[in-house]
Formats: sequence, C-alpha cells, structure tokens
Amino acid sequence: MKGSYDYRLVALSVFIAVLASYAALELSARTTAARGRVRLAWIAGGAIAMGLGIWSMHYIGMLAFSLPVSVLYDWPTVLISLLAAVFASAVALFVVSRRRLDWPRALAGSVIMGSGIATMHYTGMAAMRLPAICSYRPSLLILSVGLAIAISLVAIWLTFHFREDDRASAGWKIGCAVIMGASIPTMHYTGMAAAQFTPSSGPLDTSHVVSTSTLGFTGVSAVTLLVLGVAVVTASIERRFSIQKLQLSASERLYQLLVNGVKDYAIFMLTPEGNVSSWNPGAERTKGYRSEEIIGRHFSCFYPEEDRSSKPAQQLQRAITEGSAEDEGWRVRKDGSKFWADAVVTALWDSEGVLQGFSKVTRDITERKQAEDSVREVSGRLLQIQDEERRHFARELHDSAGQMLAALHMNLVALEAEASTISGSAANLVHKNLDLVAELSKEVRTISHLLHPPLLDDLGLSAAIRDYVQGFAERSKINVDLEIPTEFGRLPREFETAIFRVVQESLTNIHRHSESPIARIRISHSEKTVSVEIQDEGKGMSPEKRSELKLTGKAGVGIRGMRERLRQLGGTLEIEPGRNGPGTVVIARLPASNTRG
Amino acid sequence: MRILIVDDHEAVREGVRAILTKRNDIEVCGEAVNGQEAIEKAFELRPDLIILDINMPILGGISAAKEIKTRLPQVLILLFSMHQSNQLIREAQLLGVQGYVNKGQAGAMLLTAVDAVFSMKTFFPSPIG
Repeated sequence: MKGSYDYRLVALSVFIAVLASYAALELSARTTAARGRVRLAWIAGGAIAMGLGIWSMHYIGMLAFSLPVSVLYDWPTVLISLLAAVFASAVALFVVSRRRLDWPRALAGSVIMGSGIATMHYTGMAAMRLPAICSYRPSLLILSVGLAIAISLVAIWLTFHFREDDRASAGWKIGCAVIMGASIPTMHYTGMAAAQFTPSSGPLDTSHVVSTSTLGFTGVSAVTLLVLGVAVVTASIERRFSIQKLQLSASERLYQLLVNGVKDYAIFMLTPEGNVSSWNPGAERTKGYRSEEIIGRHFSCFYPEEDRSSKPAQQLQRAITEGSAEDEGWRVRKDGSKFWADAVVTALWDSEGVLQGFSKVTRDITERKQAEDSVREVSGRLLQIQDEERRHFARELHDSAGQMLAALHMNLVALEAEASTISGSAANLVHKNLDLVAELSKEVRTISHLLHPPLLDDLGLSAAIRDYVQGFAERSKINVDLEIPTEFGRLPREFETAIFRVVQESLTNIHRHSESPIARIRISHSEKTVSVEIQDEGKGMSPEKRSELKLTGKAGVGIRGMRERLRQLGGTLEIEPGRNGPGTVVIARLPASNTRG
Repeated sequence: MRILIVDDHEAVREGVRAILTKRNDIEVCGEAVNGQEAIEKAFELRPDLIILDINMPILGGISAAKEIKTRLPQVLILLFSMHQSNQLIREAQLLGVQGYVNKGQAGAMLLTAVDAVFSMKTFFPSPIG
C-alpha cells in the first residue's frame, strides 16, 4: 500500500520545526541566565513549548501523508508521544543550560534526547488505527534513530554555543534554527520511509480513537504556532530585561570597584537624616571606623565636640539648598586623634525630586595644611625680620648719619662767617658744602622715613600715625578723619609697627584704587583687643574680587602682607564692603593680652 | 646768657657749641649726655637756657623737661630733635617749653630761636606740610 504526501503540509511541518528550534535557542539562553526556581520554570515552560513543537511537527507530517484508507488515532497513545517529546526537550534544555558542556555530557544528552524524539515518533506511529499492518524496514528504522541522536547532538552543540546573548546575532540564531529545524523533519521522514503498510482485514480497535480532520490539523497548527510564538516573544522580552540587568550589574560592579579601590578619599553615603549608609576602604583608612561599626551612626561623630551641634546640620542644609557644600576643618578619627579635612557633601535626589540622601567625599589634607601653615609662618617671620631690618637701617640713618650731618651742618655754619674773612672763594666753598649737607640730610631723612618712621619708636603709634595721616592727606588730597584716643599709650614695638603698616597700606590702597574723597580711621583699645578700622567711601571692591578673596584667601601682596603681620601677633584682618553705602572697610584686630609692652 | 647743651651725640654738642660761641653774649656753661645728667647739671649750674635733645639714653628729653619745668620753672628750655613732626611740636607746646628746633635746621635757626626765647617769646616752627 503506497502513501502520498501533501507537500504544503510538509512545508508547514518543516516551518513548525524551524520555529520550534528558534524557540529552543531563545529558551535555552533564558534557562542559562536564570537561577533556582526561575530556571526550573524556564525549563518546564521551554520543554512544553519545544515538545509541543516537535510533536505537532510529527502530526502535521502525518497529516501530510495520506493513505488510501482512513486513518484514526488512539488518543492516549498520542498523549504518551507528546510526553515523550516534552521529556526529550526538557533533557535537551537541561543539558545546554549548564555552565560547561563536555563530550560525555553532550553525548549522553543527545542519546536521551534523540531516543525521546524517536520514541515520540514511533509511539505516534503506534497510535495509528487503520485497516493495515504497519511494519518497519530495520535498516531505515535504525538510520532514523541514529539520525535522531545525531541531530540532537548537533542541536545541543549549536544551542550551547549560540545561547549566549551577546555572542549570537539574530542572523546566526536564525541560521541555527533553520539547520536544526530542517534536521528534525529529516528524521521524521526517514522514519516514515521505514514504514510499510500492508492492508489487513483484522478487527480494528476503535476504543479511544479520534479522527484527524481539517479542523484538527488547523487546531494543532494554530495552538502550536501560538505556544511557540508566545515562547519566543516572552524569551526575547526577558532577554532584553536580562541584558539591561546584566549591564546594570556590570556598571554597579565597576562602580563598586572604583569606590572600593580608592584609598586616599573617604567616600560614603548618608541617609537624608545624616546617618552613614555606606563606607569604603578609604573611609576606613581616613577615619578609623570599620563599616560595621559606623553604618547607621550619625555622621556628626566625625566632627570635634565643639562643632558637633551646629556644623553637621549646617553642611547638610547647605547641600540641600546649594546642591553641594564644601568645608575645610578639623575632623576626629575613631581613636580621638584629629586631622584636617577637605570634605564635600552632595545632596542626592531621585527623578521625582525626593531627597535620597547625601554623598560625602572627605580627604585628609593635614600634611598639606601643615605645609601651608609653615609656609605662612615662614613668610610671616620673613616680614617680621624685614620690618626689624628696616627699622634697624632707619635708626642707623636717623640716629647716626642724620645726627652727624646735622653736626656737620652746624659746623659749616660756624665756619661760614670766618671763611669770608679768609677769601671769597673759601666762603663760596663753605656755602656750597652747606647746600650739599642740606641736600644729603634731606635724602637720609626721606630714606629712613620710607624704611621705618623713626617717630614710631620715639613717640609711639599715635604721634606717628597722626603725622603720617597729615602728610598723606596733603599729598593725596583725600580728607582723612582720624579717631585715636589721646591717651593711647605705648604698645610693643611689633604691634605698633604692624598697626602703622596696616594704616599705611590701607591708605595707599584707598589713594590708588578707591577714588574715595574721604577716609576714616578709628583706632581703639579695649580690655581685650586693639582694633583698627579703615573705611573709605570709594567704588569698593568688585563682588568677584571680594568672593575670590573670601573663597581662596588669595589677595594682593599688600593685603597678604598685612594679614601675615597680624597673624604673627595673633591678630586678624578682615575686608568687608562699606557699612553704610559704598566703599570698603578694613578691620584689623590684635589681642590686647599680648600688648603689654 | 648761660646755656647748658644736652645731647648724647658729641658731634652734635660740638656743632651747637661752635654756633653759640660765635656770640659774645652767650656762654656755654656745661654739657650733659642724657636726661638724668641734664637734671643734675641744671640744679648744679643753674643755666638760663637748656638746649635739650629729645632722644637720649637713660632718660629722654621730654621726661627731663617735665622734671625741670616743675622743679626749676624759671629755666628756659629749647627742645632739640632730629624729628620733623607736628605731633612733637604740639607735644612740646603742651609741655610748656619755650621752643623747638629741628637739628637739621639748627645751623640756620638755632641762634634765632635762642634770641626769641631770651626775649620772652616762644619759638616753634610752623606746621610742616
């Protein structure tokens, strides 16, 4: 008895096989990526989809084959064949989704899978109920089982190697699916070729039979296509999520590496309330706490006792309003030792604008601070030494050279009258010498005054400043209003020099830069401080210049000089905008406790 | 007129002496090198006028002038200094001395100042500009 094929249905069976293979590739990738119960679910779902695919390929193939007699199917046997297909698919998915694939494992897997497919095929054949006897040619039967195993091996191998999401481009995957999809029908049709149908008139077991019909094949195809389609779509959506997750976790890992690799900076996070929520090795090294000791504690414990109640909260508040807040200052380690830190707090907001917490990056810059301090100390000392040297030269010129020139002048005056009795030329010579001496005296006086006003030492600050201010007012045409107590008394020499220099420098600045018609100087002496204020009503410092001065502490040589002189003596210098209206005010303060001369 | 010269610089004292001895009506009755010695010599020599340097060791001219003014009010005093300072001139006036002469201008001014003081006037330079 000869059968014939409906090639349209053959083509459909091949298409279903290719689709099932493609689904298998996608599903195996998901199965590999998943862990635990999710993995089991993927294997189960995948096996059902694939098994259904292989099984329906078989039955569509059977429908394509028509015999001159009517064929019925025993449905329990059909069900068993479906289970065999699902089992074979489950084995295949399990094998390919392992981390490693070696030859024994691949072979064992393909033998089980191939046998499963063959079982499915021949069980399906056994489900046929028809008025004919089906027998098999042994050679083709063995070939078909061999093909099933070989195809399984190829399928397992290809799937294993192309399961990785990043390695398999869509083209490769489709190529594999076509190869695998073409091989399954090959096995099927080889098996069909092995079958021989001989008509018989024996009684037909018609219990549990179903007939195949157009409706049946349409239903099988539709359900299969739907199931496979859903499987493919689900798998590809899952893949996309999984790639994102993979990328996210990769960047998270990189981020962790970065933060944990940094040893010179403490990098940690705070909750919106200011409790420590993460901790890197740099933080442990800088602050001495291990992460389990510090996480959950409020970050104010890093601040010295005196700052604890106000500064931490201020920092967070500033970070909230300004985005971030930088601060330089003393911090305390776990063991109580202090270090000078440069710290930046940054507020962290989510996309809805809800405060998630803060990041804090702190660096121990004690060494830099010490270096800066010692540079400042040295420059301050240099200024003092310079002042001292200048004073020394000025005194020498004033006391020694100046006095001798004065004596010389008097002697020449005494000589002048007598010289005229000797000769006209002698008198003339004496007269010329008198002029020279007068000139020289003036030079010496000017130089000594520029170096250091001798009056400052001899008569004190009050007199020296009054004289200086008077001279300045006349030279500059700036009206200077000086307020200094009449009984100001004497201060130690360095204090008088420092204050005199501050006044001198400030007045010079006013003259050069401010365009102010007036300057006010107020010098006062209280129990605790000597303070000097020099105010002008000029154009004032530009806001940029002022903020630069405030932020960086950088200032011109003159201001820096004033500041260092005062710092050497425990004092301070501030420069502020004018209090009432335009202009600038320079405020110098010195501790009075140090001023007992 | 008997004048006591007080200055810690010998050259200056000699210069002053050279100028004063040009005049026959002036007698330099003595010299002192600091404020302390000036007070002692003032009591001892009872000069009519003291030419008194301000910056001197041991005791300065200002302190010595105060002392002499209270204890020997009849003695005339001309302060004598290297400083050209309006403050100093004001201070000298407040102190009650009769005059102030800048050393740098002594060659030209000293005799004028001495004469002024002797004729019961005061001699202070006009404020320096």
